[in-house]
This record gives sequence, C-alpha cells and structure tokens, in this order.
Amino acid sequence: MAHVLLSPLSWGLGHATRDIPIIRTLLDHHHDVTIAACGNALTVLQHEFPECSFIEFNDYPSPYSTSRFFIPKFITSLPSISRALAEERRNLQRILEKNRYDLIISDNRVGVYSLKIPTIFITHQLHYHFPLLFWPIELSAIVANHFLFENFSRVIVPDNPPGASSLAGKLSRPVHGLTDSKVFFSGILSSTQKMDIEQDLDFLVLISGPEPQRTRLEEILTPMLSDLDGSTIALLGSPQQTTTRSVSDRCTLISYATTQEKVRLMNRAKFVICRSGYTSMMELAELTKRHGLFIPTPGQPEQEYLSYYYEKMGWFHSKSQYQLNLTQDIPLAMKYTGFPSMPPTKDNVVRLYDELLVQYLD
Amino acid sequence: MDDMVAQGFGAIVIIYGGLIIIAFGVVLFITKFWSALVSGDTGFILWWCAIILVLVSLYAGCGLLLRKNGTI
Repeated sequence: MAHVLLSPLSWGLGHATRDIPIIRTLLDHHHDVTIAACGNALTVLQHEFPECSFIEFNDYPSPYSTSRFFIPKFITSLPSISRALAEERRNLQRILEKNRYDLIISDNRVGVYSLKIPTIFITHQLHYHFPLLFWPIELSAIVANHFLFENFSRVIVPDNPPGASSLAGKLSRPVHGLTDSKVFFSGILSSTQKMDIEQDLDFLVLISGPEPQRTRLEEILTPMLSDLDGSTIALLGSPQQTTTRSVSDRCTLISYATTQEKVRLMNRAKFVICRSGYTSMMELAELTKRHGLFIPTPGQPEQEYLSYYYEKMGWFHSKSQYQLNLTQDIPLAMKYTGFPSMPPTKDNVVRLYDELLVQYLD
Repeated sequence: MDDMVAQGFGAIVIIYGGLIIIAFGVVLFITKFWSALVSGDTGFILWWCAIILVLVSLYAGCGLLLRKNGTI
C-alpha cells in the first residue's frame, strides 16, 4: 500500500474533476491518497472523497484575461505568478517534510514536484496555441515545456493518442525529441458517467467559466432562450444564488446545480450549449453527445483553438458570443457529427493504473 | 534559491528586458523616421520601408510555414 500526494490546479473545477477517476482507482487499490488543493477544487474533492486526507495548498492566480486580450494580461501577471510559484515550492517542501509519500501527482501545478520522489504531471497541453502573429511565443512555449517536463518522471495526457480521434488536436501533440519522451496518453478522463435514462430535454445550456465573461454570456443568451423550439434548462453556474425561474413555459433558469444534478441533466439533454473548455469536451465525449454548440470564452486561446479545431473536423459547431444567434446557429450545429467514438474513462483509468501508475506504487 | 524559482526569475528578466529593448528601438525608429519625413529625406524613407517590408514578409512567411508543417 502506497501513499500518494495529489495536487490539482484550482483554476476552475476542470483539473479537480478529471482527477476524480484517478483518485477513485487509487483508493480501490487500497492506496492512501492525500489531496493538496485550494478553493472550489478542494471543496469538490472533500465532498467526493471524505476518506482522503486534505491539505490546504494555495496555487497561483489565473493569467486568463477578463477581456479578449490574453497575452498582455499574461505578461503583466508574470511577476505575481513567479512569486506564487516560489511560495508553492516552499509550501510543498513543508508538506513533504511532514509526511512520507511514494508518488506525487501534479495536475498542471508546475511547481509541485520533487527530485527525490517520483512525480507525475497531468496536462492536456503539450503545445499552446496563440494567434499566428505571435508564432515565436508559441515556438518558445514548446521549448519551455521541454524544460518543465525535465522535473517530472512522466506526463499523463488525458487525451487519445495523436490522430483522427484526438480530442485536443495540436494541444496534445508532442514534439519529437522535445516533449514526447515522457508522455503517456491515457485517453479521456471524466468524472461524468453515462446514465441509462431517457433523453427528454431538448436543450441544456451551461453558462459557466470565469467572471465577468460568465455574466456577459448570461446576458447575451438569456433573451434568446425563450425563442428555442423545445424544452430548455439553463444552468447559470452561480453558487452564490439558489434561485430557479421560468423564462417561458418551456424554459427554466437554474442558478446552481450540484454535480450529480448537472450530470443527470447532461445525460437527459439532446443538445448542449456550453463553453469549449477541455473538461466539458471530455464530458460530452464520455456521454457520447452528438449535438451541441460551443461558445469559446473570449481571451482564452485554448478554448478558441478547440472551437476552431472541432469546426474544422466537422464534429461541433462553434460561435463567438459576440455573433451568437441561436435560431440560426442551432440548425447549423445539427449538421455536425459529434466526436468520434473513443474508449470511455472506466477503460482508460484501468489501463492508466496497470501500465503506468502501478510501477510507482508497488 | 530553488532551480525552478531561479529559472522563473531568469525568464521574467529576459521577457521584460526584451520588451524594454524593443520599445526603445521602436521609439528611436519612429523619431528618426519622423525627422526624415519632415526633412524630405526620401532615400532614408525608401530604404527603411524596403527593409520593413522584407522583415515583415519573412516573419509572416516563417509563421505560415511553421503552421503549415504542423510545428506550431
């Protein structure tokens, strides 16, 4: 029985939720798991795994822009990220001195590694995407990733191997000789499970992501919802409120739903409208949803790239929130095919344990 | 100092230093170009326009080629 320290990044819940299948597998094999996280990520995992130990462990501020301009925001936030990184390294040192760990799993926390204990890094971005104008930055980021991976024993990429069913496209494509040597493609990892229930909801609208863009999307989408031809539920992702109100006799707005309620709604939905965050994409792939419309968060190059990539592959239609017109966009989105079939999380996580994790745990 | 922290500090110095040098270069160039425009120095203007055109073409060409080859 081994002791694993797992630490997800807390920029949104995506990192924490994709770690849920890994934590569950480790617990099923009777290993001890200590989770070091902060904010909502910590709360979700505490709720999901009361049997684990928890450490409050702050990470760094998100460099994502609240406007459309990612690069200037990223450059100006470099000193604060660097300070937070130094703090993270000091805090990790304290954690490692207090307890003995056999393996560290860091989900996108670049400062969470040890040179004495095997450390596995989880990321779906071996490659970053920037507008063509900034190609030298994109090229430099590949080299920077190579140096970053030097600190880790292996890198888990929660995506299918590069090819026709790659969900992250070029983001998860390794560069030969630079980022490919340590990479393990686990396939999709999602905490959302397919349920055997009837698909009786015509439209599910997930209004999520960082503020103030979440509120902006709510303002844009809400007036359009009453025009939809079918039963509609919109989840506003505002945990501060607990209200439910009807926009029309077929459309309901729910301020906040628990994870279980959200999963149930996703299973019931025939058509999903959401941001193109990678965790949401893995959820839709896991549920084998065929119809949806994606709205990338402005200022998040990753979501903008995924929207472009799915459009190019003919899988899903995307539209900028500034050009959205649901009555026109939904019929267009119905012509797309959805993601190709791929192995589900339950198979992927078994393979991940048997082929990779077990060698560090026995 | 931890290796990673030192690397982060180094990266910030390089990025901010590079940006400051580029900003100085741009300001200097605009000043010179403006003086040439005012004094009617067409030789200087044409020479630098040609250089800028070549550099921008090379920059855009490299970017397009890298994207076409799938490197970025």
